[in-house]
Amino acid sequence: MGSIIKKLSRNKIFYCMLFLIILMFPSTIYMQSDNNTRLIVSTIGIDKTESGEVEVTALAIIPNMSTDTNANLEIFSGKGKTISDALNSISANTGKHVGLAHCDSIILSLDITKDNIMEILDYFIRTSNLTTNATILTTDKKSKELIEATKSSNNLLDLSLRDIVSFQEENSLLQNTTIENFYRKTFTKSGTFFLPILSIEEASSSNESSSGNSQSSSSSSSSENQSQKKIKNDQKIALIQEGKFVREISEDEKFIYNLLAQHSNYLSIEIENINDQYVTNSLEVYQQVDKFSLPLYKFNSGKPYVQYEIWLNTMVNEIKSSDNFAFASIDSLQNFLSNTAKDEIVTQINQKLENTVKIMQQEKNDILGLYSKFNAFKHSEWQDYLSTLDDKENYLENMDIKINLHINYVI
Amino acid sequence: MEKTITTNQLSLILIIFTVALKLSVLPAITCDFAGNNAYVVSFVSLAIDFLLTFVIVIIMQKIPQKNFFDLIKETLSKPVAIFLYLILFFYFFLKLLIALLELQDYYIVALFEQLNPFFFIIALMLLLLFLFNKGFRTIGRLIEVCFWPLALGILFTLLYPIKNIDLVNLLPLFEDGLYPAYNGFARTSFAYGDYMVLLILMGKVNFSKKSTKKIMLYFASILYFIFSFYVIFVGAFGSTSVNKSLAIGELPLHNPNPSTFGRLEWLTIIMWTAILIIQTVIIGKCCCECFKQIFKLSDNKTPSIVLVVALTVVYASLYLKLESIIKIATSNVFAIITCVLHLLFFILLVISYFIYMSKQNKTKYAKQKGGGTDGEYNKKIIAQ
Amino acid sequence: MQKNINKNINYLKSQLGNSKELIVKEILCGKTKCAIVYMLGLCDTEILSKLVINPLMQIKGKISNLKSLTMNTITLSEATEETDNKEIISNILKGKAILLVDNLKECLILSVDKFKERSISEPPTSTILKGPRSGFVENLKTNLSSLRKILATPKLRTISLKVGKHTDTLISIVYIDNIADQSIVDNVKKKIENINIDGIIDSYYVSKFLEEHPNSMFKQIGSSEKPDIVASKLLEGRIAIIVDGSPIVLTVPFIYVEDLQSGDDYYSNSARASIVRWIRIFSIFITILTPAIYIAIVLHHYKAIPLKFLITIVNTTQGLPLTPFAEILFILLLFEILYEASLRMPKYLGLALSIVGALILGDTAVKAGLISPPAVMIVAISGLTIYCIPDQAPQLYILRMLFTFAGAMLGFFGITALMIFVISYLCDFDSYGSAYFAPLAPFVENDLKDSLYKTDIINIKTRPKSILNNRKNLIRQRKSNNGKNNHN
Repeated sequence: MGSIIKKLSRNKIFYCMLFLIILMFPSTIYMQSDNNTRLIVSTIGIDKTESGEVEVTALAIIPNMSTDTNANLEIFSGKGKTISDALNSISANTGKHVGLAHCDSIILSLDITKDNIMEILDYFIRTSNLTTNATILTTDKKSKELIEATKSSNNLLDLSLRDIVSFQEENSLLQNTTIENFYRKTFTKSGTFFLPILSIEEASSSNESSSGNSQSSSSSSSSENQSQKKIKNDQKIALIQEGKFVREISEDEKFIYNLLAQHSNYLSIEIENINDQYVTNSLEVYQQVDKFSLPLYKFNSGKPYVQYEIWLNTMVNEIKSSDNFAFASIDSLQNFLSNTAKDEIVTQINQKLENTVKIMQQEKNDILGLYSKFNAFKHSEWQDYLSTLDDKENYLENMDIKINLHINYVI
Repeated sequence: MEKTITTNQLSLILIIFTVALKLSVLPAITCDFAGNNAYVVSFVSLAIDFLLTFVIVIIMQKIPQKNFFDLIKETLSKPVAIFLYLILFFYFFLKLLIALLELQDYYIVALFEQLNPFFFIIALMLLLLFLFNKGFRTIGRLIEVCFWPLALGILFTLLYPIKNIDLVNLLPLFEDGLYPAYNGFARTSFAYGDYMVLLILMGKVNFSKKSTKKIMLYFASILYFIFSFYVIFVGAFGSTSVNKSLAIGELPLHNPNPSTFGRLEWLTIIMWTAILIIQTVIIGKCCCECFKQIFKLSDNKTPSIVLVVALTVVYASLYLKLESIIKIATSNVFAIITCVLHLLFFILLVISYFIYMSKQNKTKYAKQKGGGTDGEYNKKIIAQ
Repeated sequence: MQKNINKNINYLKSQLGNSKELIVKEILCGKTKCAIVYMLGLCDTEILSKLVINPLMQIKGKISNLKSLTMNTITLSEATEETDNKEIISNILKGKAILLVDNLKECLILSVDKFKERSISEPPTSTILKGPRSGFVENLKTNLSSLRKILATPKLRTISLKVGKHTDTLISIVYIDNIADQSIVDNVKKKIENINIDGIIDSYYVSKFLEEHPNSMFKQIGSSEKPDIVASKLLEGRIAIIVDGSPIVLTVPFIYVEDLQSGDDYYSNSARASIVRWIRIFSIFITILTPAIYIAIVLHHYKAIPLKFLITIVNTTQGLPLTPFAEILFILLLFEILYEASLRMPKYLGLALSIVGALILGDTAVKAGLISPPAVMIVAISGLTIYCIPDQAPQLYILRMLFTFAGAMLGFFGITALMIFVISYLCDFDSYGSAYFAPLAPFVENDLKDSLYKTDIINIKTRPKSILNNRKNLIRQRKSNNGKNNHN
């Protein structure tokens, strides 16, 4: 015994490692990979059935030796009282745990958003499996149909729902429609959040199924039906306040919020009936090249107002004029944003702004988060202003928003 | 004899120890108490730590050969020194427990769908046993090798959320008065007081020229990083920051396109796991040193075995129970105890230093007055 | 030795087992009987005849002492007197000839040894694009002469020792006097003197005795097959140990960054050398971590990988009979077999067998559904990158295995924990007073110039402080003094 201990103590590290390997080796050698025990889900859709149950539809990746990525996708549905019930039902039917680690989109039907979204998303915010970077979308149809349309699209993985939404996030007023952001915005005073609304379009020909998709005939009939549906993005945006769907925002509101948002890269300004030294009765479309928006929070005689200083560089996209104009000189090219056009743009913007502010005040939707901003930057004055109000929730009543636009033309 | 550590190693040990417990669960706890003024709480706590550390580093340089135990023993008494080291032992043991529970409750749970806890505990304890057996010099060298790749990896993944900071989340300051900030400061004091590690490292450092400047520069940069982290955390998450139990893992989630790059926060979590293991080792080494001094041991074997056994028993029984420990650590009573302890040790050190220096000066003066050695003194008497 | 020549001859014959290879040539030198004893095949008989036997036969008188012979008669450059039997026998076995003279107790040892040896060529494990191409050979004298050719300094010292009961191997400790640390020289000398073994075949045997942690698998003694590299190490303050019969010269102290350095770095553009050093560092991590990370991800952390890559993996691993860990072990084993077979197979079979190996692993096994392409690719990449640092190959093999186990058993946590363990284990190493990971830990700023990156030689003005050398003589380069030489 003594000699054994002596031998062990001479090479302690080696024997410790040997012990660990012997201990853990048997279980490790038989361990299956996580993929075999988990269902890899890329998109989740949530609907409510007529009986009031929750229906969860999952677009899952099924291993398949085929090189066609569409062959990997399958749709599974489950119903239950709660989200976890419904997911358990899917697990029971597939024999695998639902793995949400690669789920980057959660689709909610508009019906379901009329209830409290936070209750619906409660499971997803608590589970550690799902990354909080998952995007939330809404659809005016059933989310199951949208997922079916997603599945039937060509090259899903190159053109996914995420891509459509990212495009909107980069180029419009939507920003980070992720679960994380949703909760963050909901727990502010304004509690407002935007969600994109996607729709489904029926394809014109039933034979226009995804090209090169010569898969098993057993699912050919369903795939033919599915292949008729396509994702449609009309760039509609839903306004969610305190976790509930309020309304779709109007075109004027979309334009103004897009203009005021610092991050948005795509703004298109259309003006009509322009008459100046270059054109007659023309329709001109100007595109934002870059923009800098600086909000200034001020008080005027105890009443709050926000002045947005916006520097906007534009370039002309299109001109439809009754005259066949030509660029006679470099001068005309460089100064194409004529004063007439500028004035018209400013007038149009002010009109839209007026409409937007009106809606904001009527509906009491603090979309710009003005309460938090005034509270943060002009705390004492803001508190004084609030104390003058009978109903502190009506703080938008006397709020004014002004835009000071500095617009330039870039070749 | 324990081999000495260099100034560079001391600075890095201090950095890793400082960052312990501050970037995982503490941000959420601080936000819970102090609201959006959490970054103010961290600033005040870190500023106090900086000042006290500065004083201690200067004292260490003045008496580089003396360790804290011997200093207290010489100036106050041995029983007092033993008692203080006993307190220090339990103080570091609690921190060690919190660090280990954090490692398991958050990082392991975040990384694994399921992991056999038996395997995890055995592997971890064997590793800790090996590392506790080594000296501070080995730990210092380990940190020197690992530090920059880990730090750069973490910094890189934290760069993304900077653009998501919303100033609205950070302002206004002290909206509900000073009490929330004060409450946050007191209740989170268990995670601060990083200069306590210097008490253990006293007498083990080989100071070079411009040591103070170097150490304080390193320390200031990590404090700045921690403060910036809190600002980014509160600015990015706002009112939901209370729910972000694993702060260091949540922030890197704000990467632009997760499906392309994979989950970047994993890189941070893995690197942070490595840092957490290293800081666990430092805290554990501090426990071992206290144990050694209390029982007058010369080698590292006995204290490391005792510590690992104690840790295994307590850890296994507290499996997945970090919340209960955090509740104790952030309770009112514990907050008071921690604040008092932090100040007490600092004051004791300063007082003992002055007593020691005055004793040294007296001895020096007595020698000078007496004309040097005893022999010369006798000659003078005879001459007179 | 005795005065009677016949007794001496009989003694030698009996000690050497009356071997037929032992030649005893008796000659009459004037009035004195002499005998030349040597081993057949080990001596240069031509020189023996020309420079020794012929002149001896011209003697007319009596031989009274050996000194007169060496000064007047024998024109051989090296001839020493000896009386010790053991030394005499050892020298005969080393190829020297012995001149016995009747009535004289001493004998003369004549250096006429001539072994057939390999010519100086470029070593196969240290090929470079630019720079000197000569390498060491198995003969200690030739190796020493190669070093002396480069280091023509009177400060170059050698200490010769003999080790090995049956091999009597000559070992030389070489160092530069006021540059190397004397305590290390003494330490090395003491360790070599304490070696009590029956035979030393190669310098590897000696290195095991010199290691301070002999049970550790990590390299603790530097080695090189090139004289220019050994010379540069000696100039930095290291000590070289040359073992007769081995072309690999050992150097101490050893620090890890030495294996990141290559001869090429010093003879070409330093910017490129810096980049290549970082590639070597990354190749270490790729070697040991790639299979581990792959297996950890597949078994425990599928969440970490992007969706598209995950789909590739799940599609290719669909329906495999082996579990992922078993699959990786199987592929690692196959690669090891291929490696061993390619080392030992006859050259004319090489091409055919390598095609078979590639086909078996790369194509057939995958098509048969036995293993998956990602796993093959991972192990192949890891296998390739091992040879970016060939000196570390044995350690990297074992580490790769260990990390694969750790990744399979405990995922990323296991990999992290093992990495911390290995680094802290190596941080505790000291090689003759020099920290293993110097100049990184402990941090020595000045030495970074030739470790993690490479600067030009004009910027390297001092010897490295990372290794223990003579700290009073660290300056290597001073400002030029109008063309006059500056000797340290």
